[in-house]
Amino acid sequence: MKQHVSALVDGEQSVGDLECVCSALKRPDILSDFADYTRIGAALRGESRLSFDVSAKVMAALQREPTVFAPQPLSAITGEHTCSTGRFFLREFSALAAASAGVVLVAWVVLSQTPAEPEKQLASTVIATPAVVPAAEAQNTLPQDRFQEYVLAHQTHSSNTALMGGSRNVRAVSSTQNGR
Amino acid sequence: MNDRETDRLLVDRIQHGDKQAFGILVVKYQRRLARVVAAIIRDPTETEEVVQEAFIRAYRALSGFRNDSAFYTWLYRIGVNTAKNWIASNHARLSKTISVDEDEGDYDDIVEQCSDTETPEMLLMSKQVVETVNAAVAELPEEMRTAVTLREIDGLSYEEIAGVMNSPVGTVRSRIFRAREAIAAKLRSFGYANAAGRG
Repeated sequence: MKQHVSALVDGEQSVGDLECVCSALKRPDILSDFADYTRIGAALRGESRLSFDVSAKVMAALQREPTVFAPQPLSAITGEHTCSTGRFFLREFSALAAASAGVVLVAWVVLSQTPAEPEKQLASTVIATPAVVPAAEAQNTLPQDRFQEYVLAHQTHSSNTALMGGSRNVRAVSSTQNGR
Repeated sequence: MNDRETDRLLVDRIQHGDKQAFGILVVKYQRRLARVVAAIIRDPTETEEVVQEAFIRAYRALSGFRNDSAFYTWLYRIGVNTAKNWIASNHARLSKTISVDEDEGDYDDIVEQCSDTETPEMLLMSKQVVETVNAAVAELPEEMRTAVTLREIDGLSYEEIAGVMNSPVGTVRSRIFRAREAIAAKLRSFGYANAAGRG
């Protein structure tokens, strides 16, 4: 044990040994060894105040102090290296997931606003048109075709079409089918 | 592991309720802090009280210490502030003080400015301890003397000493320990060793 205490003086003990050494240093004789080793070093370096020792008085005074408890940082709880690496990937994945969710949301909102309904209505109108048109209604066919042409010609100016090109193609197909 | 890492782990232990671990840091740094405090207040008889107060303040503030700086740098600032507060409450002695910056880098300069911060008894005791230690080192086997000298005077790590002495790190560790034990035995025989824990 004393050899571990000697290594502690030099900061050369392993992390695993520190637990053991700290427990041993609660014994006054082991703490005295630690104090002797530090004093020997100070003497060899020619330092002054070699007889100075307030450790007993300080520790006696601390008995009247409340025990310190500090909030533990996350790195100290789970190990700095592995945890810091894990947290990096978790943070990056979270950012990526949030960005993806945002893109999906915007896409869903935009697509839900595209004029799919008018096309469906137009297509259903075309399908529902009877093959034989009565003579009275036949006169309305030409204005309706002309109306379709008018819509096709001006649909780029429509304010409710978010996807102009796509809408134009859909209408063109519908118009062709109608013409057929 | 180095000194700073050791201190960090000790601080972690204290922050989780191990009050005794603070005693290790007190033993480790009390002389360094005493020299700084003595250099500021220039009163050898009050140094002990101010250093004691500085350590207690450090303990109270330890919950806020986040290891952003080295523990001793943090303790140094507390020691300087405690000494300044002591001076402020003892205005008559202000003219005797020297200026001290907050930076730890000025530590050596401060101590060099003051040679009269020890009582004659302290100086005599220090002289006797130094003589005993030097005599004990001279009697050590060469490999133990070299190992402990490279460590304590030159500040080499165990690995560096192992390289210099062409020995395994474990052997270096053992030699330094046995050297310290031999010197401590000599100090005990002359009554200079720490007697606090020995009945």
